[in-house]
Amino acid sequence: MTTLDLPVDDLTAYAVIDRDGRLLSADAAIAGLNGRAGGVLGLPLAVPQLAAAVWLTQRLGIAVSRRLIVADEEADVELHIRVEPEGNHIQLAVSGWTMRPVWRPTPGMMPAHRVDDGLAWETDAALRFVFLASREGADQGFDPVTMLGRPLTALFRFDDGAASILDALAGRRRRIEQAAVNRITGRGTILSATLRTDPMGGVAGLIGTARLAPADPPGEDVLATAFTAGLDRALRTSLARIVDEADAIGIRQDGPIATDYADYAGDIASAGRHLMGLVDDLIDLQAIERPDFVPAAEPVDLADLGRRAAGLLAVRADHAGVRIQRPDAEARAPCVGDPRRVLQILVNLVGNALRYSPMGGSIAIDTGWSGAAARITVADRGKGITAEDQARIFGKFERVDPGEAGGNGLGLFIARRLATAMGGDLTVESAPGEGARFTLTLPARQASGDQQ
Amino acid sequence: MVAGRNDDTGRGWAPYGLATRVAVAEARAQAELDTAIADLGVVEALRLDDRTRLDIETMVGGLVATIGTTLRRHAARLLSDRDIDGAAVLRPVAELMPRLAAAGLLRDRALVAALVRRARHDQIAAALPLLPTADGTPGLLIRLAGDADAEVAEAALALLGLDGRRRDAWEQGGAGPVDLPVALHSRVAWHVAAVLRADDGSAAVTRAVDRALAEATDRLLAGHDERQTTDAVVLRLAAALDPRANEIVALLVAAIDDRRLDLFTAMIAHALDIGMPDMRAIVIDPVGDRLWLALRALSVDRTGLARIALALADADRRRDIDGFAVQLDAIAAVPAAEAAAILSPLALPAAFHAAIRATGQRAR
Repeated sequence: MTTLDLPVDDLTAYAVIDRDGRLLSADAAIAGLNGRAGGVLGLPLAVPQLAAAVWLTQRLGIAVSRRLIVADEEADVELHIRVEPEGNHIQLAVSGWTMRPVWRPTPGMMPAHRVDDGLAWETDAALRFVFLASREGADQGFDPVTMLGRPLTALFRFDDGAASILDALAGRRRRIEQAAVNRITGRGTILSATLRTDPMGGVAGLIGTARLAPADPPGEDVLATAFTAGLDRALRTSLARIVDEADAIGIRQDGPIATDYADYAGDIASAGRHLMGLVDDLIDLQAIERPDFVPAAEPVDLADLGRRAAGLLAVRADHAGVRIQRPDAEARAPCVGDPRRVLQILVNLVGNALRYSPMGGSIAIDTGWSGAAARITVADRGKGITAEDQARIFGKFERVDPGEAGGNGLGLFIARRLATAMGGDLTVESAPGEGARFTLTLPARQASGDQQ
Repeated sequence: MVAGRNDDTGRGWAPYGLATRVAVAEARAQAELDTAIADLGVVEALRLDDRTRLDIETMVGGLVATIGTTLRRHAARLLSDRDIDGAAVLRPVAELMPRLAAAGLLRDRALVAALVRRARHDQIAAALPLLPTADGTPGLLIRLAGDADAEVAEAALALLGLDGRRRDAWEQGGAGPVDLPVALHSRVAWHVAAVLRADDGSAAVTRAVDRALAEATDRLLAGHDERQTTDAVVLRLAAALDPRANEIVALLVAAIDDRRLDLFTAMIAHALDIGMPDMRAIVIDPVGDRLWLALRALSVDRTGLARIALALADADRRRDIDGFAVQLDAIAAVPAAEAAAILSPLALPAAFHAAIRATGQRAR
């Protein structure tokens, strides 16, 4: 539930701009983003980076694709945009929509497939070698240059079929692990590779390494310690690349592709984000289940954090057609807790409420007092939760409707665990058909003057 | 000389050594001040960025280590014939670079120019956007490697191999190998030989060491095959292609799309008869005025100019794509003949062109 990267599922939004840079029409997400920056239909775009890309496209007369980070109230939103001249107008396509809070460092560019040993190789779309380099000294038994421009099968034999590679070429997977035999050395080899896609969504080739096949499979204990030993980072890095590239394909970054393929790319990006969320949650779970886990105890204001959570989810609410009623600007609910963890809980609660709210619905966030504790309540008007399910939903990997997309059954478990660790609690009241009210309580701060 | 430390420890504090001690201290203080003044005087916008500085240090470090190791091994073998232990009388390779730097190797204008050109060119080439080719069509260089013209195919294959080695070095975190012109390569090699000699042996040993190093260096230089450098190979490909006026625009755009900046640069250099070093300097210049003129001299149209400029700007943040966009119409309207005429001095022998520039006479 470290939902501080807040993606909006599968959203590619479009807008049309005239030759003078005025916004003629826009999907809700772009209109919302532009509106919060002070813009309206009929005037130039108010988000400076978007306006600049539109201007550049218009001047150059060619399509411009960019990855941008724009400010949206309290959050930074990462966007993939493609701006393209179309007759007298300019079309803007925006996807990505990943919200990142300003304090999170942006990861640097990672090499596609960094290797320290083995044979590094890269092919073009037709699986001809465009790059080969040996990292094991001269014992590859051939001069890599002689293989350049030749097909992958000139160097490797696939005795058991090449299912992994074929799957990748058919677009069914991006990571390849394929057993092969090096024709020159006759030795068993494992090819690990990543599919390279061009911005048009086509297969651009494979990039990877070839290593000698290991004599024995790694033991189980390797996996047991692997998660803490950086597997989480490795997973996040690969997933982030998959999501980025799928987003780039989804917005047809460098030319038209069939809608089906753009939709598949959207599915890939969405599934990738889901997995990233799961990795984050598992890391979080590991942290909070440690016996020595102690959240910070600082003065926080539930009303302020409620307003910030609503702000962070504004784009997603626009997309879902749901209104979020924030706590009044004057409302205060001072208490003691870990501000980042409280925000994490609230973002999870509001995110859940958004997921279950019907189009045109609304979510109310209000604050108050519950005995000696400050409370904040997030109420939706969704389908509600039965009494039986209410007992389950705070369990690990429990979900109201396991068939429903989004969520991994860890969010509420982590949220309640965090709430109790901070000396508070997280409870739910609901009845089927009448929505749900989640209430977070935290110990009040000893400051009587500023109570609501 | 290390700031804050007096290297000259041998003279002690005996009265006869005090004057020297003071003189050394004063020289060090002056050097420190000179460095401070030079550092403060650097125009911020022109300062070398950290990435380029690191790449250059890696390149020159790699070059010195390669030359140093070769010379040391060969010289040691020659010395062993005279029963002299090479390891004892030749400096270790790790000590060479600091001495060369102190001796001002990196103040050599021509050498630094070559290193900066190569480092920036590689950075831009690595950052060029990956663009699609038409359905299943391989990239330009792979296509050329399978060309029916054997000369084109051979040169394209050689370039693929060189590109691969450069990419490999790049991905392992270091800068690629640097190809220096013969004169520069020879200057660096003799400098390396000079710092390899540790001058603390007897006169006879020193003479033997010098002869061995001279022979080793001669041998190294004789083995330097300029035909195998990137510039030579890529120019050979450009010459073999020798594109007609109506073909070159598509080839230039295809080279950028295939992220083969060397080939892009070489095709312009060949078509306009400009030397590869000059053309490289033009391509890496973030103020693209000379490049736009070169492209106009080849009749590259508005769309071609825009595509090339956008790809280069995406790969090099120092470029002002907005400023270019404002001027694009005017640039595209420059007549090809005028653009060619204004660049024609670059086609003169490099030394002559440099002399014209130095004497302040304008080209007409």
